[in-house]
Amino acid sequence: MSPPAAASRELSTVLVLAGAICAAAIAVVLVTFNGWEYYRTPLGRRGYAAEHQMLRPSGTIGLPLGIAGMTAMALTLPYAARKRWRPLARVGPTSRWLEFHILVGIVGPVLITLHTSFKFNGIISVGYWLMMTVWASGFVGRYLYVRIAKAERQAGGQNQHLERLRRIFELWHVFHRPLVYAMFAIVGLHVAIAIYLGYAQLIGAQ
Amino acid sequence: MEPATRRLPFWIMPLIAAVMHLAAAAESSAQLGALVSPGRLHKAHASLEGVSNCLQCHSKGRQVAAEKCLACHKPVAQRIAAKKGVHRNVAGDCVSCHVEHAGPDAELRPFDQAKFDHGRDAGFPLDGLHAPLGSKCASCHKSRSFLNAPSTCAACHADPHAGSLGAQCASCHSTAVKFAAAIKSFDHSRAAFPLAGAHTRVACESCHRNKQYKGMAFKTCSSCHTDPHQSKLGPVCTSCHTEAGWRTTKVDHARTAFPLRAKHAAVDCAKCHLKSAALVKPRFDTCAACHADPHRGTFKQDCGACHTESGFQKAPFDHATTAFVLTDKHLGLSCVACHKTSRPAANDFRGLRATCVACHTDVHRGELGLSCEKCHTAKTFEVKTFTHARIGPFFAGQHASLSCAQCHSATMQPARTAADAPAMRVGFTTTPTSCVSCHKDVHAGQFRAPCESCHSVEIPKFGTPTFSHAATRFPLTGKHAPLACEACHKGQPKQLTGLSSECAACHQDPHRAQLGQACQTCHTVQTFAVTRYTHQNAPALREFFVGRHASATCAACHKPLPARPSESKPVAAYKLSAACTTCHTDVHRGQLGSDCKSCHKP
Repeated sequence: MSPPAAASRELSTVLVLAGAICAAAIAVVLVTFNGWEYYRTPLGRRGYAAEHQMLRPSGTIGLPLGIAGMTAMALTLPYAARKRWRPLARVGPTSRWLEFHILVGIVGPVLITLHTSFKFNGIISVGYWLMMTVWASGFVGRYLYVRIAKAERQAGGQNQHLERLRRIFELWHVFHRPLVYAMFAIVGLHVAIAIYLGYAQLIGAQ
Repeated sequence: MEPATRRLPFWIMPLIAAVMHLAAAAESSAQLGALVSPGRLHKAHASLEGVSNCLQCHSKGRQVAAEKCLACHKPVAQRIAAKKGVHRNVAGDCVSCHVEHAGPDAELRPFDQAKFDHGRDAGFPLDGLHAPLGSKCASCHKSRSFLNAPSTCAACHADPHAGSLGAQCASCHSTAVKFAAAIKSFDHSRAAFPLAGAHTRVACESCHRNKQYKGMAFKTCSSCHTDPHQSKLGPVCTSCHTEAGWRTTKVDHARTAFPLRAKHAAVDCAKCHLKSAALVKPRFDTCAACHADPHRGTFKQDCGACHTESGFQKAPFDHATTAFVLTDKHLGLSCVACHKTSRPAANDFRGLRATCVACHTDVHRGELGLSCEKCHTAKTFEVKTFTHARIGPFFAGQHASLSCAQCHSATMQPARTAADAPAMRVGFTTTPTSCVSCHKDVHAGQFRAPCESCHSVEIPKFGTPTFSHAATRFPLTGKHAPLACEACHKGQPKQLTGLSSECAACHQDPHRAQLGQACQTCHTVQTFAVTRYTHQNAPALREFFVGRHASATCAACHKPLPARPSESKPVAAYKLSAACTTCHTDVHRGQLGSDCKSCHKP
């Protein structure tokens, strides 16, 4: 395990990298594909915008965004799996797994958000807001994680403050993890319906 | 894991969230489908909401196939199949244009109204006054489907004619003209009764009373017009009237029983139709129906025998049908030149005698009778062709070329009045034919014999070629023959009778009467020269003219007498003595006597 200071430094790098990827993705969609205009078009008329074929959720850009976002979200799971499945526990340092988890955990919701085209309907919107809650809680968790590491470093052992932080962090897990399960359940339904009705065709899709 | 974390099941949070969301969704849409729906359907498709209805539109693996849309939207399917309207060229699925799940009020049928060609895409052009409606679809399309809007006018417009004119509004109205103005732009020529002339200026309501536009009676004029002729002229108004107007009516009189020709054509209607034309059907069987008879009935109103419709004045009367055929100078005369009355227009053409004096004054005062034509012709008064038949020979020769007036002098008779024409003073029958009545007797009465005994009208200049001097007492011979008469007949007038036949009557005696009156003793008419005289003929001188005397010239002896002033030529002395001393000088001075012959011989 890397020292907490080094881990914190690595995390900052990951945040910067994730921010860059998100910014690039947002910039490309908003500017290159004229998403800025499209997303501001009222829903009632958006269907007839030129960008609709690209940027709608099942569009030529929207669908890959959704798939990429879902993939990114799926890639957050190996970090949880590593903590429960021992064979994985010995693969690489935990901090690297966490950094990757954070990276895809930040980028995924951004891509998914672009995929939604800011249109939130049905149960999938529940999944979306679950995801966004998890996404926001991730930042809280990361904050707690850094604070715990700092408190451990300062206290060197157990003290009351550190204990309280650890209890909060425990509660945080109860919040962060189950939402993800619910989210994936909804996403699974969403994807299944999309595939069933023919909306998930990367090639040959309208 | 800490025991604290196990107190709460990990799925509690998503369960709470899902239940809450379901409750909210179920309340709002009352449809389970809202859970999987990406958005509410348009209200037109509201009946399709719900999870059980997804496959009403969606197909497995095919998103939304067109056939599912068209299964409901049959009118659109028909239009696509017929390649008509906005869908005439569509290919692919409906959803490429019609986007659902965008909310109950989303636009399902997007199109640019400004670019929408209603004529091409809907088959109903929005032209003229319809054009502003291009941006107001709902003003005509009352129902949601655009296909339901009927194309009949009555679908949108109220029919002010209450259906009386049928449904073919466009036969009168067009989109280019406002409804109220259609009456002005209506092309009446399309109607069964095209308007022309004065009809075009009539207000619609004048004929279309009570807004009746259909079923109008127009077969006869009386359908609209009151017949001011009270049917007296029959029902066919067009034989006189045209649509150009009542006032400017150009009656085709040729179609009446009295066609107007020549001057009648230019006469105002009212000249004959004295009362309102409406009321009068004039009589026309006689001219007198309109024209006054200036002849006061003398011709029994057989006007056409003389007059034509070309004019009263120049009636082409054939005078040849009368007893007095007009020829030559009579032809050019106006009627009134002969047919005179106090009123020029009211000529009485009858009763005029055919004699010349009926018109012409007899300048001969009846002297020549009434048969003027014996001398005069209608070509001219001047008498050119007259021949004095009774005394034909008189007018032969030199008389033939005489003008009448050379004999018939205008001063033959005394003037009776100051105004008498010269011709009136000519006595044609009293003109004498004796020569002296015209010719002066240049012989001053020397002859008792008639002039014709010497003169003839055949010979010009009073020549007398038939006169023979041989018939007189003094036949002209010798040198007398070629003499001009005046050489002997002298005087003025010439003395032609009583002239002495003696030579001395004409010839002067150059011999101072020495030789007596018997000139012919020596002279002949052949010549004055004495050619045959010989002294030998005188017995007394026979002895004298011998010897040298025989050859001596006359003048050698007959010496001139002493000259007298009255004589131009010397006069020889013819009475000579035969004595020698008459000629010869006595050189002996009388010594030897006078008998010279005793010694001398001639």
